[in-house]
Amino acid sequence: MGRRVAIVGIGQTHHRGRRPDVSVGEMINEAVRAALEDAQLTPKDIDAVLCSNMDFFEGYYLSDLVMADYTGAFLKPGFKINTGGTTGGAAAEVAWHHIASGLFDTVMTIAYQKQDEPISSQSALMTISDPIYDRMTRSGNVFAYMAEQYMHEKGATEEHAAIDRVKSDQNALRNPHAHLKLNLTVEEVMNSRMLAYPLRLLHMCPQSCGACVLIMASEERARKITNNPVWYKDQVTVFQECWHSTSEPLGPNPVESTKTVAARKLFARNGITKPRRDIQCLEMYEPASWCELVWLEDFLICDKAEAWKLLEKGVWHLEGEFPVNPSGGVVATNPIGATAMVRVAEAALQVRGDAGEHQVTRQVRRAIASSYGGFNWTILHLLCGSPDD
Amino acid sequence: MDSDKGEELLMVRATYDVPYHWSAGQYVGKFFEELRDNGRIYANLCPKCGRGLIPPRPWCARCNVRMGEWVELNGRGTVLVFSVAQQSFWDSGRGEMTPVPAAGAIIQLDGAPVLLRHALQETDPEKLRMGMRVEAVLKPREQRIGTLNDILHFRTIEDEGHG
Amino acid sequence: MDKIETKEPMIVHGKIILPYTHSAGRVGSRFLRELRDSKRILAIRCPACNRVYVPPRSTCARCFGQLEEWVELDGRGTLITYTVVRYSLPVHPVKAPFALGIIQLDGADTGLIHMVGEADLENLSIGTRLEPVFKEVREGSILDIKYFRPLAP
Repeated sequence: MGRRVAIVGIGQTHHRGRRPDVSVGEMINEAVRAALEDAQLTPKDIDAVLCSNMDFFEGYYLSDLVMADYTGAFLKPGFKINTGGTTGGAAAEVAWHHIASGLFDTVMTIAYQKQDEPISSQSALMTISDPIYDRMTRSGNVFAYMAEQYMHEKGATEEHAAIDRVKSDQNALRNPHAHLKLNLTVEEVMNSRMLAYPLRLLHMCPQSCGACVLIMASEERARKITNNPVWYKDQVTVFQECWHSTSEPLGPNPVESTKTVAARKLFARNGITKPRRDIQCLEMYEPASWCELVWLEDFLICDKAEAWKLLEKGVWHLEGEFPVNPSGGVVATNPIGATAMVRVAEAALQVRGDAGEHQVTRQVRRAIASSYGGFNWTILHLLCGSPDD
Repeated sequence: MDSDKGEELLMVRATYDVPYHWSAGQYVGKFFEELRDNGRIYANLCPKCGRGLIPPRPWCARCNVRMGEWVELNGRGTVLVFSVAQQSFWDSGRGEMTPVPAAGAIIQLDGAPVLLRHALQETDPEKLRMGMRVEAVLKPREQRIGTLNDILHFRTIEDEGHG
Repeated sequence: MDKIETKEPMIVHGKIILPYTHSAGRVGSRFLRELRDSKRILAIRCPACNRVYVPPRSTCARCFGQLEEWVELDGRGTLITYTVVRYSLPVHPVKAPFALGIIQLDGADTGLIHMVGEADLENLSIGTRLEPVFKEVREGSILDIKYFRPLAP
């Protein structure tokens, strides 16, 4: 597994729908300064700088060109990472590789997106798919399909998506960095505008502008930097076919969810047999509130058709048995290329006990964070308070 | 510096309009050619796991073997799941807002174990259901150019077996 | 199906058409407003290394300091290097032929890339002294400077 690696600095912007007051580089700079301050470091302490976003949102190709100008990376090594929606998680992963390999001791990794720059996020996002085939048949919505299937097969109702959305909103209200803080009622969610049946406006994540930065270090360096390192214990990345109609969890050739593949591997090699006992909270990349319910089952956190029942019992709430998205999640905050890294950052804050108002009630020894992207690709990250956990 | 309040913040507006010429390759190309010239829809089959792919591809990504037999499909299928988009957005491929409502479905086609995502003619959610039968409607020959949109949409089969 | 072979290579013709609004940010906006409203070129100085940036920026790339000390330049400068563009592309600001140069403005430490106009393109030379010519109608863009022209001897 290589050397032990810890997160020693965490920074993020206050995520917003529009940020006309800053250029892309200036927005990134805010999170860089926050992470350096959190770690009590200066750029001269950093060995390499990684930068990540999703293409087409800001409309320039070499988006890592802002790196040296605004991140302290001047005359240092670094490069850009882009793996679609998982980008921010992949950027954490590559920092882990850099350090675990022994090649670098202290690495800063950056994820960002400024979604007020393209005409709409969906217009930029549609360039993700194969142009010869998939981009031609733009109709439908992957999360709408998922919602319909979940209701049909697992017995959930529209009310469950709404209860889940309200749960996330209540958490977001306690998170100073969250974008949407709406103080919603179940009724408001259920009556919100239909986007694509059965998916409603308030089920979906917003388009946010924001950046997130992690500073990660080897064990030796980490212990000098902080008394409270968060150990980046393990992670599993799972890809799958990316053409539509081959990546569906239905039909005659269903593929096993990449989330299930990732969870099974991660749990097995870390001795996790009862996930809700052995792990204390989850920051999940859920682009829609429906995803949270479906994917809790896919991640083996509960049985099939059980997520909505446990939701009714308050299991996923901040003070519940297994809090999910104590930060308010992606439905509240979605700087898309940074979204996966925000999951890792928020999970790390929970392990460190530094989440403030949205710190979960139960003691957090281990937390997991998930990245979602591409066509149901998954990264599952495991963070621990002790390197021996 | 000026105070933040009332400060005019400027934007630079730009539109990037870039043409591309994407190579379909032999397999997808052949599929498009048959669709365009002969109105035929093909899938091919993996000799190992038995699944079909549409459009046909050279390799099965799951089994890592060369794909086998091409089978002609009759264009009919069953809706596994559907959605109806009500929200329009800028279509960066066409340079215009998307039309709404627009119905889409994942369709299990007859004749091969294969799924296809495509548009449905029927856009009223009340008239759509899982398991409903649909069939492909092709554009007229002179409008077909060799893309998946040579299939206009899938229409509801009202009375199967008597047509 | 006997032969998997197309009559001719199958090419799918398409486009990506995306409109953007790029935020200049607070520092960039002040620079562009001054160009537009007052035909003034502002720069910003790093208090640590004394480097003067034009266009101005909020952070010194080398010292990582936050920059706040605005400096007004008189707009004159020296041609550091140049090229004459002989072909036209839609992305070019004007039709070819035109000269593009790196111009070191007096009082600044960074080179500004801009066009050189009202000049004999066949006889440009490094070291030529230049001054800005502003457009009549300005909209808050770096192209509110129409070009730089040689100073009268």
